[in-house]
Amino acid sequence: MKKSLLIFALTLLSLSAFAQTGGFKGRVVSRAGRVAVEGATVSVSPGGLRATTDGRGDFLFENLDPGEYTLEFEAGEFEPLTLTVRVDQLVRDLNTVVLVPDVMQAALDDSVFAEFDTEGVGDAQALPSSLSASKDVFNNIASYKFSEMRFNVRGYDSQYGDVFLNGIRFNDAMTGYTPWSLWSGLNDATRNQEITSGAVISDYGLSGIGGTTNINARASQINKGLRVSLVNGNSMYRFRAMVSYGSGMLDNGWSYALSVSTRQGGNSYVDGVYYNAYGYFAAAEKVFNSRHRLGLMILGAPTERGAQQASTQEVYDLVGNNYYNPNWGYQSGKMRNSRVRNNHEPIAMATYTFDANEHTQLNVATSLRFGKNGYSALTWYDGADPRPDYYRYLPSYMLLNTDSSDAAHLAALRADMWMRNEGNIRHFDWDGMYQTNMNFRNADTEAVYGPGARSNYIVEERHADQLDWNLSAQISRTYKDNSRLTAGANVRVNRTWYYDEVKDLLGGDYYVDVDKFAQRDFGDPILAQNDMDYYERYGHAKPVREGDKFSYNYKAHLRSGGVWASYDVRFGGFGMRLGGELGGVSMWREGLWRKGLFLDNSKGDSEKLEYFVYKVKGNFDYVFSANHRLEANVAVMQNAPTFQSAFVSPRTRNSITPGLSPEKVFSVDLSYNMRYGDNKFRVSGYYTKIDDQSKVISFYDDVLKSYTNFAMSGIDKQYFGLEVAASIPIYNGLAINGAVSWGQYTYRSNPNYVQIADNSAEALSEGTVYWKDMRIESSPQLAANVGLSYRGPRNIFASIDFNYYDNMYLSMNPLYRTDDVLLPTMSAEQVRALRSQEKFKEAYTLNASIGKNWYIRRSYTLGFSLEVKNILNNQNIRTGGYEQMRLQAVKANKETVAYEKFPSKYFYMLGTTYYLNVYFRF
Amino acid sequence: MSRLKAIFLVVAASFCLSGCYNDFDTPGPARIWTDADFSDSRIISIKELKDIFETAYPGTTGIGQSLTVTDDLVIRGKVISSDQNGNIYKSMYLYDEQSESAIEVKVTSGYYIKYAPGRLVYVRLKGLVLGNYRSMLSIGVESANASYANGNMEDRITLDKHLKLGEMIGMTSADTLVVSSANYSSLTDASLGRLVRFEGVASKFGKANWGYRNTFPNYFANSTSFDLNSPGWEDIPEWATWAAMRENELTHEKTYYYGSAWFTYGDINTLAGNYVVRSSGYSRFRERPIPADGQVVDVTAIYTKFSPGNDSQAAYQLLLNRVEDVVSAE
Repeated sequence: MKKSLLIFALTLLSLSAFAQTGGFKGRVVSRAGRVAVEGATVSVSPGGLRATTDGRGDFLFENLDPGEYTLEFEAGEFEPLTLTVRVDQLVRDLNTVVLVPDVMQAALDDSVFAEFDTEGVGDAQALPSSLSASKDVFNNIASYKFSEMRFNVRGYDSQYGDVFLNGIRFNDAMTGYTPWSLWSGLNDATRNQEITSGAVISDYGLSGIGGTTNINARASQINKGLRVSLVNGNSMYRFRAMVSYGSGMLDNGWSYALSVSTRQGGNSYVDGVYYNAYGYFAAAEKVFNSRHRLGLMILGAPTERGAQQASTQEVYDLVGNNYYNPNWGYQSGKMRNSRVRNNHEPIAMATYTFDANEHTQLNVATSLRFGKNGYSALTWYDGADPRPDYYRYLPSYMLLNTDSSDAAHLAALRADMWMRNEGNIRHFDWDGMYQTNMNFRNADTEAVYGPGARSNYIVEERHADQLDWNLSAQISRTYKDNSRLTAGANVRVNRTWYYDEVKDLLGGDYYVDVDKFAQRDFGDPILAQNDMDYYERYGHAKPVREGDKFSYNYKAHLRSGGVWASYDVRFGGFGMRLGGELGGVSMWREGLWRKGLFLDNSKGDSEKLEYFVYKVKGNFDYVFSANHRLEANVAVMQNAPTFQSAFVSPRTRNSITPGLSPEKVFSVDLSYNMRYGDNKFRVSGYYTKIDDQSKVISFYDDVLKSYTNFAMSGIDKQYFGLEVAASIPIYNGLAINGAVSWGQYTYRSNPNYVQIADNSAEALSEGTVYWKDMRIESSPQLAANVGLSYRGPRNIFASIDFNYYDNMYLSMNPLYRTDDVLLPTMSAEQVRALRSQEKFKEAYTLNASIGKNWYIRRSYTLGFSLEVKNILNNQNIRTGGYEQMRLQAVKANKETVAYEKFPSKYFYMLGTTYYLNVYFRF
Repeated sequence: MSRLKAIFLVVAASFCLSGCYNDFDTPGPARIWTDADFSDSRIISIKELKDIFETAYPGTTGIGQSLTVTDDLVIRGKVISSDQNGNIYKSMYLYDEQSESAIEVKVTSGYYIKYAPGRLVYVRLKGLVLGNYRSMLSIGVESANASYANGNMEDRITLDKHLKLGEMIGMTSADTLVVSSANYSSLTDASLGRLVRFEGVASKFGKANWGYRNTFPNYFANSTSFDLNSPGWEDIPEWATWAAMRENELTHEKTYYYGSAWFTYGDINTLAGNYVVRSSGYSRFRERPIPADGQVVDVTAIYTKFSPGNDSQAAYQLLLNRVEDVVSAE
């Protein structure tokens, strides 16, 4: 998969020319030891020419018309490789074409998702910024080997890395997150990837600062032949099966490709999590008149996935393991997870390529993403909190603000109940909730809603269903001096429908759709209505049943468009690529219901927010010699805020976040690359600042006793650091490699905030969040790897890696860093403790992999790879977590004299896991 | 074509291997317990239970005392209170028709959903703690707070262990003790915890001449009581509601005030015949006005007593299940 990219990049497209007719030649070698590959098939299209490499691995095609050709290299035991080569009047020497042993591919499979499979605060799904291997010795290690620790290259969040599918940028329109989940499980179909790293301009757009990945999933690019693979593992799912078929280019100009997959089961450590996922992919492509290529594609990954939630260390200690998952309970004896992601968002796409002449190519693509994306949760109308690890049910709660010996006794009793799991105290009581629902009926409610049991507990499914249409066009032209102009335009229209749906009434007949917080806070029944139009028509709140929308219902609209161009030129050893992009983003909220609390500001369109966005980039390099190269990149950008940060409380009303402004990015980096044969070394330094970000966090404020929206603006961040990596062959296929990423990612300012009552839109407090110079969470700021890899004869591959991580920080609750939570009675030490940031302990892991494949009768490939992670089985490595949004009051004589942090929640790296992939290709 | 067949086969096989993650059997209805289910224990009346405490701590000596039940005793009572309106908080009152006695059970919030009025509930008493707080006896668990004689059963495990659902028999008129101006003086503390309808009581604004001699209506929060003599509260008679919530204009902190409304049968000098309807600042009828001074009403409420041991500091307090239980008698 991603490896084909590696080889693509490793291919040295030397431009040396000879006085011959048009064509190309080269030598096919294996990556390990540069050994000639004899008998590799080289197919050329258009034209349908084929050749086989000789004993020295050489091949030659001559007398070709000028134009662009696709070369396909196939050899047993190696990953197939596709290259696009332009032929002029000369025979172009491709020098060495490097094939990578097939056995490598499995290592870069989607097991990389395992550590990103958990949930952060506010349902946000952490995603890797890059899943791709690349030619770069550092990025290769950083993207994959550090993923176990939720490592983000240079600390950037995933929205700063752009992911394209057939040339269309697919980052989520609402959040900017990378879209890997849309095609997860379709590894074969999305294997062809082109990578740029850092702020380098891609051929598909100027992109951000976190690199780009373009997945080329056109039918003609899918590996020819049938491929079947089976995975057994214990880190994400138990089982995966995948079947893929690529026709290659047929004589009639058609190519087609199909792939289906399924992933099933859970992991060995966390109860309640599971995959019930499928994937499908179909693509067809037709070449007309050798200059026009039209492609169609559809893919989808219907996925149901049980999620894990973090808990506090107290709970982990009581339960005796750090993988406790509070999301599930037994229903009629069977484990049931309340938090299930359920999405199926197919993508349909058409692509068109026009080779106007040998210098100019036009690409046009359009896509539509549609379908459903839901995430379930337990919700309830009234009564005690049914979550097992709710803080009041824990021993620590009994010890709060008391020196009574009875309290200690009670805490000990409670701890004992947790340790023995008395009455399944650790889990949800689904049966009890059903039974309560079935019995919850009384004359008052039946008089209003008719006969039936009123559910108090239900499973809701929060939806963010997208309709996302994209159109992108790109043209590239190569000039006689080999300089190149690339330009493009793109348009995006997105409508994301946010609503809550009743997924399961849990034994009741209906649930009443009221805002329970408003009902508690205000006596007026109108204020508790979520849908006033219904209330006015029927005189009561809506009784909702399974499949009905309730709670909130609105659409987010986004329109964006832009034009961009880049120009690439070399002057001797000096090369540069300059680019610019201009665009606009417009977004607004469309409320579908009139909410009782905000009769005049909830239904209909909000104000339209319009932003001018731009990007300017410069990529420079200087080649001292074949062995030494210096690179420098600079980027300046202005981005629109995301929809979810642009509205204070999009579930309830049209109000815009105070202080909202576009985000400004400046980034610069400098790299030195050295290469002698297979000895590779790279060192880079970078500096990036991201200013004027906005963020809204919604939570119940213990001091104000209100559910509030905490809107921050003017969040400024700074990232700088060094990256060093080397790969050195030692002896006979054995190589040592290593990388160090040292960075310092900090908040550069104290942002302003306004805290607004969710119920009244009233500004309750405003001020400053004091976190300047504190660390940005989410990625270890020091990561180091040293590893040995071995590529032996007979296609054996093995590797062992030691990874070390430090400077990992907990995600901060901004409220703790405001003046609002200070009391005159608090000591300086108490204030310092409340504002301090938690740093995780350093951690190290040992991972290994082994693989082999067999080339059977020169036409079948059978192979396997086995990867074992965290061999030391350290189950105490924190990979992430967050501070809760509550405050702990310290009392003296019933008066609150100080506030402390509430216990934080943590995620841990899984213990030893394995991932075994067996594949067969013919 | 054979390749397509292979694909179909693998797909079909993988579907077969996939689990049924969301096929759950619907749990059966909740078990309904009857007397027969407690053959291993002894079912006693609520009055007998109260007597056990009275024997251990006669009269006012029991105030603030705790008594852990060590025998396999069970009481059975009908739920006569509801916390649906946010007024009664974490206290469930069970009434035993046979002994005509009721008792408070300290539970968690939102109990009305599972233990609705009219529902028979059995309480397995072994391990629970009888506690007397200012003259009111209740059943709870050991308290983590030294100020209270017992604590609430907050968690599901403890509740499930001690409270068992009985039959839903519904409320009847016999569940309410009716008191009028003619017989109020015969009402004794044996009826504490019962649902009582005080017919023909008059709302009274002003200073009482019994107990703490408070001025009514008054509002109480953070250990301080506010009446019309308190700065900033002089206009109470103009708006008097069952309870109050105020938000600090500067800090936006909300304070929820208990409200106390006084109802009397006429003699304002005696403890008996004067009742304080005490309502929570969190109740849904917080903003609703109390009957005007002098208005005669019927009040149906849980009958409780707040007394540190002597009548000069005592008051009978009434807890409303719902505001509709106060109706005009005129």
